[in-house]
Formats: sequence, C-alpha cells, structure tokens
Amino acid sequence: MTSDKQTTSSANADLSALARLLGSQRNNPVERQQFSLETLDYHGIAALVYENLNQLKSSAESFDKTSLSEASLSETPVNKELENSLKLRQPLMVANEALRLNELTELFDGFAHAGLQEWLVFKGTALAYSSYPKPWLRPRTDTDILISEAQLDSFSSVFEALGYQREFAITGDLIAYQCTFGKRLVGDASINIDVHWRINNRQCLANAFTLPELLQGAQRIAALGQQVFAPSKVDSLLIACLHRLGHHHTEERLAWLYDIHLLSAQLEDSDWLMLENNAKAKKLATLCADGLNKTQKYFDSKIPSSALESLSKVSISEEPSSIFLNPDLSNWQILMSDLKAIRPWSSKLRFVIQTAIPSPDYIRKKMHTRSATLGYLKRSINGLKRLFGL
Amino acid sequence: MLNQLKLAEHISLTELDDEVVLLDLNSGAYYGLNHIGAQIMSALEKGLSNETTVAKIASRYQVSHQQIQEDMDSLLSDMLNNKLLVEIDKR
Repeated sequence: MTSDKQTTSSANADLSALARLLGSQRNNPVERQQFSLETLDYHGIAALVYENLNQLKSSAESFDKTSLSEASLSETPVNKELENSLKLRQPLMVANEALRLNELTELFDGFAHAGLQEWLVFKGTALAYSSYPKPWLRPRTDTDILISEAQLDSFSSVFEALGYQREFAITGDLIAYQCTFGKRLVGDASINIDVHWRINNRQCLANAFTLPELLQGAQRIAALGQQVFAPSKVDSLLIACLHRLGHHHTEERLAWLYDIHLLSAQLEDSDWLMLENNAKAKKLATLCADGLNKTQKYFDSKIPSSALESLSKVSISEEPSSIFLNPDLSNWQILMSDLKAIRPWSSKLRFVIQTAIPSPDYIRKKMHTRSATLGYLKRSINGLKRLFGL
Repeated sequence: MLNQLKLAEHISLTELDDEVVLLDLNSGAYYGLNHIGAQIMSALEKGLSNETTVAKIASRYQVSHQQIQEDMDSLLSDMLNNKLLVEIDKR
C-alpha cells in the first residue's frame, strides 16, 4: 500500500528527469537517478523504463564498443537495486496481461454471441493493444468500453452470465454516465470493466463524442478479437487529452502524456489538420493544446508547430472545458461548471436533487449506517465541512 | 522426448526479448524461463527433434551435448509434472 507521503513525493518527482528515463541514451547523457519503484508506479512507467533500459543495453552492445568507455557501457540511468526490482517484476506484468487478455477475449466473444456489435474499447486497454509495442507496458486498473445507454441491460446480462458483479456506486441519470463490473480471476487477480455510455462524467465533456461518431472512424484491435474496435488515432488522441485533465486535472502522470506521445507519432499531416478542426469544433482545443505542449516538453514529441500554434491561440474563455486546466479546481467549481453545462432548466434542477439527495440505498452504504436519515445528516455535515475547508 | 510434447491448452506463452513467461490460466501461477528455456520452448513449438535442438544450443553455448540433454530432460520432466506440457496423442 502506498502511503500519502509516498504519493506526494512521487507526484512531485522531477518529471523531466523521469521522462528522460524513457528517452534515447544517445540524445540524453546517462545520469544515474535515485527514483523509487513507487514513483515509477505512480507515473505508470515502471515497465516502460525497464523496457527502455534493455533497449539501451542491447543498443550499446551492438554499437562500436571501441568508441564507448567501459564505464558508460556498464552505466544505466537507474540504480542497480531499482533495475533488479523492475527485472523481477516483469514476468508478473506479462503474466497479468496474459490473464487479462484471456478474460477480455472471453467477455468480448460474449458480447458478440449476444449480438452486441456497437461498442468500443477506449483509453488504456485500447492504447495498450494499438499504440504500445507490448501491451503490458501500459499499466491500467480497468478496461473502458463505450456502449449505447439503450443497450446497458443487454451488456449487463452478458457480464452477469460470465460471473461479473456490478459495483456499488452513486446512481442518477445526470450524475454518472458509467458503471463498473468486476470479477475475481484465478489467484489474487481480478478485472474491472468500466462501462461508459458517455465519454466523461463531467457535463461540459460528456457529449464531446458520441458512440455513432466514434464508430464511424473506428480501428479494429485484432489482438482483442475480430469484432473489437477502438476510436481512430485522431479521436484517441483527443480523448487522451480530454481524459488527462477532465478526469485527472489535479495530477500529472507521465503515462498519460506518454499515451499522447505515442499517438502523436502515428499521425500524418492530414490527421493533424483533422485533429485541429475537431478539437476546435468540440471545444477541446485548450485541453488538447495543454496535453500536446506538455508531451512535447517532456518527450520531445514530433508535433507540427502549426497545429500547436493554432490550438494554443484558442482563448480559454471560448471553451467551458478549459476550467480543467486549473489543477486547484474545487469540488464547488466543478459542480457549478456541471450545472452551467446542463440544459434545460428542468434538468439543472434534477441534477441538483440527484447530487444533494442520492438514493437511500447509496447513502446507507456510503455512510456505513442502517438509517438513511442518519446517513443524509452525516453527508450534509461532511459536505459543509468540505465547503468551508474545515 | 521433445517432439512428443506440446504446451497444455491452459498454458499461455508470452515471448520476451530472449525469455518466455508461461502462465497457467487455471491457477494464475506463472513461470519464467531464461534464454535457454526459451529456445527449448521455441524448438518444441516448431516440432524440432531432440538432436537438432541439443546441437543448436551446444553450438551457441559451448556446453557438452550430454549436459544439455540432461538439463533439457530435467526441465521437460518438471514441466510435464507441473502439467505445463502434455504428451502428444499419436493415436
């Protein structure tokens, strides 16, 4: 278990130095860093760092050794202890991925047998199997799929038939556009599938993409099954930028920037133009510009300057989603942003009610009490404390 | 022995650079094989004979044929006992 202190120190690690662990040795002189495994895990780059170390070593071995000093050949950018930990960990990562793939294949076959064809896999798992050289290099705690809300019951039936359980969470048609199905696998392993019917829970982002629109340009992910599709590269890049801030605006993790880095490397000139136009049309230009700028800063990514300039020119006042550029955004500000984005007025009212007064079932479980009244009271006190920063 | 064995159906094999990871999908147990073990698995998948496999490994590592044969038999027996491998039904 990672302590809060460790998490804070991992979050505050020197991102430029960390990012250099994923770079090429010839462009970046070797510098031995004292990063911990926890820091690499926090940023989701542990497996990538080890992969890169191995590549640097084989590259050094095949290089003309006479031009390299013995010292530089034996040096790696991380200390030996960390390198050994990464080496020991690798088979576990690989085995976990194989176990997950086996389960996902069965699940996705289940969707196909139930006649469910219009859905997509997106974010981590989609990128692991479409953009990363090896899927275990992209760590993730769940697999995200996007479905049509009208088919939620049909998808739920497949999950239940395969032994999944729907996880307890707040409900409300304006509060949550997703739910999670979990299953215990063999050993200590488990798998979680996040089922979304909108791309994001935040109201100003929820409708940025629709399923039919994403299906139009979708790419097949054959490694997951012949019937499995993910958003196009351009859409995936926009979603990666949206996700990084729309869902995680308070934290900067290198894995999300590395996703953007790998996706950027796959775009052609015409794709960049499409990205630029789509980002502006969907009012995601400022989030997109921020993701691309940070990615270029840390990974020296090949991003056309014309695209960056054009996206960076969009004013934050033009895009409601730009509030997520602020890492110190309060819950209150997010609530206000949601309320502003919801239309019509009757829905705003319903949103307030669903937020303030969740279902009695939810309140009892969340507040660990048998009495819903006591649960609501506890929740109100907690809410006031948060509001006044107590 | 080599050409009479195959990976059991519930075993997933993933190749790393010069190693392999075997996962028992029924139990979640996993096994890492080093570069020599990986070569033996590769030979097994290709259906190579014992003699060819031993000769290939011997030429690369300069170890006696006998030593390699003994080590290979020991590895394959362990894998068979742990149900990672099954005998090919030739009926």
